[in-house]
Amino acid sequence: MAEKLKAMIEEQKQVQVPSLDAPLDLDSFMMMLVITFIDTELGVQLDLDKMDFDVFMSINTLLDLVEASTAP
Amino acid sequence: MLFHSLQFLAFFLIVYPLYLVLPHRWQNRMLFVASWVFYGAWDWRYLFLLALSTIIDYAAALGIEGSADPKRRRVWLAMSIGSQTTLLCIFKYYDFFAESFQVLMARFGLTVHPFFLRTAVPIGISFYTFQTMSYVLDVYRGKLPAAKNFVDFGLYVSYFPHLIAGPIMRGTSLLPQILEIRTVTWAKVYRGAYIFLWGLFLKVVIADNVAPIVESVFRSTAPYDGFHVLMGVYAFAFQIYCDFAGYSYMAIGLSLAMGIVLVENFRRPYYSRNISDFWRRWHISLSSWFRDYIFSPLYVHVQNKPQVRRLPLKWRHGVAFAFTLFATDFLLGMWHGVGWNYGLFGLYHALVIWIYYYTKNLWDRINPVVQTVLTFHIACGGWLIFRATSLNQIVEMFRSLLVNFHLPTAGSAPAGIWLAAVLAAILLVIEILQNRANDNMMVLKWPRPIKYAFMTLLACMILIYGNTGERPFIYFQF
Repeated sequence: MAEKLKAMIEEQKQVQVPSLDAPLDLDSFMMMLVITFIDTELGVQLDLDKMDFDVFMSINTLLDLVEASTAP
Repeated sequence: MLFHSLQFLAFFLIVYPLYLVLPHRWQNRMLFVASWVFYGAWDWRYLFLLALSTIIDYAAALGIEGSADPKRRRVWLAMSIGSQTTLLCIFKYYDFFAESFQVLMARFGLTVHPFFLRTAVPIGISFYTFQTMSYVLDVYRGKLPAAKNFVDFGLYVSYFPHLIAGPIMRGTSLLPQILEIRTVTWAKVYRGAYIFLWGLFLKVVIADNVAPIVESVFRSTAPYDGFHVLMGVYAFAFQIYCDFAGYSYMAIGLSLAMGIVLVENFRRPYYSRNISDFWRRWHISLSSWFRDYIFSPLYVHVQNKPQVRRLPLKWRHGVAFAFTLFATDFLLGMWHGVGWNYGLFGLYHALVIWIYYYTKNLWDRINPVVQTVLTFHIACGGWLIFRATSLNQIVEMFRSLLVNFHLPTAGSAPAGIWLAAVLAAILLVIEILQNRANDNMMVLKWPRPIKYAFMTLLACMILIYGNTGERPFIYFQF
């Protein structure tokens, strides 16, 4: 999942993401693309109550949200 | 007190040596007083607004932090946000809305006489109210401890380099720098001086020299010619960029010389490859503010609405995104000034971002140079709306671009267009180099002889072409 997310963000932003902890610097448009991608392509419905901008800081923070959203 | 005025030079020549010799606690006290003197020099009557804004959010943050009861915390938050938006609405927008109401009623044949404040918009009010709101929200969200010392918090709000026109600093970024002991090194002073010089060049050489072209086109009452309108819009695109980025660089440079780092506000916006990219590079501190404090919570709120949740997956995201985007960008537009054209400017950007969202796959196949040129022109469409003095002018100017476009005959081009074109070309060439290095200050990495020659050239251009009329910064009105 991390690699898929990384590849998607790199493709959309057309820059390399050096690591999973690297700052992503996403704008609202990219946030939207990421949410849609996780929802439609990865099949995970994000728990929006747990979402604020901090979860878009890095791929790892995004993965934390995905994990929290899928936890029973 | 403009940064490029003799008055400011005198002010800084008193403040800076004092800053260098004082211990940390006294540095903060002195900067706090100096910042209020700086603000009071514009109009001392509005100091009470700055004081009110500071006191309210100082108390609100302490109230939030000091309470474990969620209800009480929410009351403090609501009190803070409500007070700041009320101050903003009354002193910035009240007369405008009252007048709009009067005009609307007149259309229905009703005559109303609302009360008008008839006061000038307090300078910098949009900047410091947004800054204090983000601070209280961050304390509420547990991202930042409340400032205990009133002088430290007061300095965070009123710190003079960025008080009037940003960058809008978050508490998480500026407060720790105020609380910690700062070091002023030769490297920081040198870098700060170069950043200031670059900002000064943008402002007095480029922005102020293209301004007459903009004024001649937008003040003209003659039937518009598409070519002149296009030149006027191009000129305004460079004027507003160089004016505002120039101010930001000067603020960043001054602050760095005091050992305080302000955030980057512009990252070569006219090299953006799409309109979303443009907003990642233009007025970064404001667009990120709207992203974090308006767009994100509003998007979550809309997504969680039962009516939206019932929609199919694809529609759900589309609807939530469209609503949030248009609402956020309308507010972002209105933040810029008092007039419906600013709201329209925001809606225009929302529309082009929304179109981009649905045509992204097609757009991404276009050649990158063409993408950049197209994005610049899309941004120029927004600048036309932004700069126009009436809705009628917007319509007439767009119409002239489409149906009344004639290439100029000899001598009919706007006066000063060649100088403006040369200055814009110089800027674009320098920015190509900055863009390749992905560093606005890449000049500082050049070999010494070339670097010093470049700085001397900038200084000479400021002396030769610099407009010494002390034209105010455009963003001061916001």
